Amino acid sequence: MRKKYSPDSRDYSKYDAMTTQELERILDHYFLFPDEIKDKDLMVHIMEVLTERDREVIDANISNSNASWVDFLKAHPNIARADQNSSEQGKILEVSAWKKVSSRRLLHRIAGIAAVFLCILIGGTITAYAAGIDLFQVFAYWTDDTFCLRPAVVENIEEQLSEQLQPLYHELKSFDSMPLIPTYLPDNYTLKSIDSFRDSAGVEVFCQFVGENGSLTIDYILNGSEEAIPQFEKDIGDPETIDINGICIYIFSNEKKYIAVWVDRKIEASIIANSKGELIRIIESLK
Amino acid sequence: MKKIFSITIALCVVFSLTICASADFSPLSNPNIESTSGYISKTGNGSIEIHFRVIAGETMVTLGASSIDLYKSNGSYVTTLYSTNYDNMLGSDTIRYSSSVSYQGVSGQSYYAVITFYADSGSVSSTTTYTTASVTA
Repeated sequence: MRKKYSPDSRDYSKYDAMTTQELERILDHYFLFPDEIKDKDLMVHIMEVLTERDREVIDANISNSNASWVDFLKAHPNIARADQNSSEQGKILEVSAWKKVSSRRLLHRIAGIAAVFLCILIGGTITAYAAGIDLFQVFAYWTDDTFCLRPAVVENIEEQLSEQLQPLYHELKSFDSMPLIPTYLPDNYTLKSIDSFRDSAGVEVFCQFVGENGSLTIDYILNGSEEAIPQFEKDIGDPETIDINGICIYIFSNEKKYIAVWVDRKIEASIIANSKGELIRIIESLK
Repeated sequence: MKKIFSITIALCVVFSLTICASADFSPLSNPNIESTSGYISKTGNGSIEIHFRVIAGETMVTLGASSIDLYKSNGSYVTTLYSTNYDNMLGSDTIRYSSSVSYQGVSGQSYYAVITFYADSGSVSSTTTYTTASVTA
């Protein structure tokens, strides 16, 4: 009889008496148990019991098959004659066929155990996330023989900002969620004014820059009301769209001005620039 | 000789017409006003406030709302509020202007407004309209 796996002298013998179906059900539901009542030793014990039962069934099938084959040959003498010439080979084939069945069952068992471990891993990840360890903010890094998780490098946007955009960044930083902000502005623009307006339609941060070709404005409406939707003037023709960081940005012209409009979460933003080239370069710098 | 002269004159006329047409290639766009918005809020006892905001492409000599037409939600006309009667409807020397005006309506009545925005750069002026959503006073 198999030696019971009980390193801390716990008695698992009652599981030996259970049916295979009952044991498989326990194994299938193991990953749903709360951590505090999980018993890894018990799981290993059950797996051992099941593996042994599999082995016994396979052995029994192999011996029974020989007897059945003899019966079958008696009933079919033509096959029996042909079988005489290749009886040795036939036996080998029979055994290898049963080995195939055996390995298939074993594969199913391994796949089942792998599924259980996968569920435990996912469950563990969720637990870690709830505990404040944000595993989704890390990069997995591995070589041929090592694996590790490294924290994601958070970009410091402030360091990348053009100097004229620093006041806008600090104004927006005071809000709950930092919207996409351009990090580039042509050198010839200087900040003329930056203002915040609050009313029941939300908060608006409006910034005016002045350059040699005219004014450039950047406007953010944070948590804006659905009833106060901005309406832009435009020339004839459909707006173009550009995808920046998964956000669709609409670009169109109005006389000599070029306008970019986008919505990021509950923040509607627009930039009004003096040329299409400078506008595209600005929105491509959005971070 | 006469024929060549006539053809030259005709070509000059066609050429000048082409230039005029291309100078006005987008008649529906607005040279000064870039963005507008507006909404109505209720302040109680049938009173409402009409809020508006306009952004121009450049700093304007005059910018704001020149008039606000008020309608009931069924489309019937109620009244017009003119900037000549409200000193906070127009701003000066600015690229962005926002303000609001009050109106004493009837409690339970729904209203919407058609705001006429006005921008004057000193050399060019333009207008555009914005229609608000309906709000019950």
